[in-house]
Amino acid sequence: MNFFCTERPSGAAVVALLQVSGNFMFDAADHRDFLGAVLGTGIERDRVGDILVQGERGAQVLATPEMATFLSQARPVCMMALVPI
Amino acid sequence: MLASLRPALLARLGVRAATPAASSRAAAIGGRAARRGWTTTTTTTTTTTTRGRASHRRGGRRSTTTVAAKGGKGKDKDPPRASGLLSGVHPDSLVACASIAERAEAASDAWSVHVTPFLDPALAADALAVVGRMADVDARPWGGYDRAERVRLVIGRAEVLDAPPASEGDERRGVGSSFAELSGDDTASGAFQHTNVFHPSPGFNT
Repeated sequence: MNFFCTERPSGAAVVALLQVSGNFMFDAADHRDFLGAVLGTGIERDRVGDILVQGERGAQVLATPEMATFLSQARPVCMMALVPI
Repeated sequence: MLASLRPALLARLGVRAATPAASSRAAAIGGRAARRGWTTTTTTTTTTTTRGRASHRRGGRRSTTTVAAKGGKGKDKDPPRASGLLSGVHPDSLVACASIAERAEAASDAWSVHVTPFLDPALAADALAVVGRMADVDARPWGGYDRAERVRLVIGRAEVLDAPPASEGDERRGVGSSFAELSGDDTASGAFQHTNVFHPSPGFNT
């Protein structure tokens, strides 16, 4: 899982983009699966922004930069819907 | 929830919470008003007691009292009523908007930037309306891309928000430092000297 920080109108980054990639062809996951996996790590809802589901390729999760490092290393997220990501 | 906020802030924002204490206070005021012949206007949500004659002063302060109280009988279901800065805000978003307004005021005073957590679309719209009514404060919604539903509000003075970063190249270099090794030439003797900060001999660059 990779994450990138997107710039805000001025100054430091306020939003981080996490690319959740994996093979979801045979075990499809939708928005609630990704959201459940993210919130299952214990972080609050207001730390997570939109979740852009990309079908078989995974999803993109927008979160605060503070949470991006945590989410990229969180065990429940790295194995989601029996698909290693 | 509203009781957790400072009374001074609530008074300034125009929030009048319908609390049991306020209800009993309003009832007491209404009883006194009836005995003294004052006019009492009762609506379904508020009880406003004013004096019909010239303004009555008690201890140098006007005694005209406006207290939110439960006008009818039954359960205390009435949501908090807002006016002024928070007028038109949904009752569910009232506390969050009051908190954002307080932080916006602090950001304006300190010429700093405050970033909220991710907000729901409804709450973000209410918060944008509240901040839009405030003077010298501006808010920019940003959710990572255009037309994002859940956004964070970057709040501060317009001059601060529109100002470019002090050293954009330094910031990008800091973000990407894990991918490219930095040397002393890149930091102090390189990037720092482009910020118009005089440094005769930048040493100890590792």
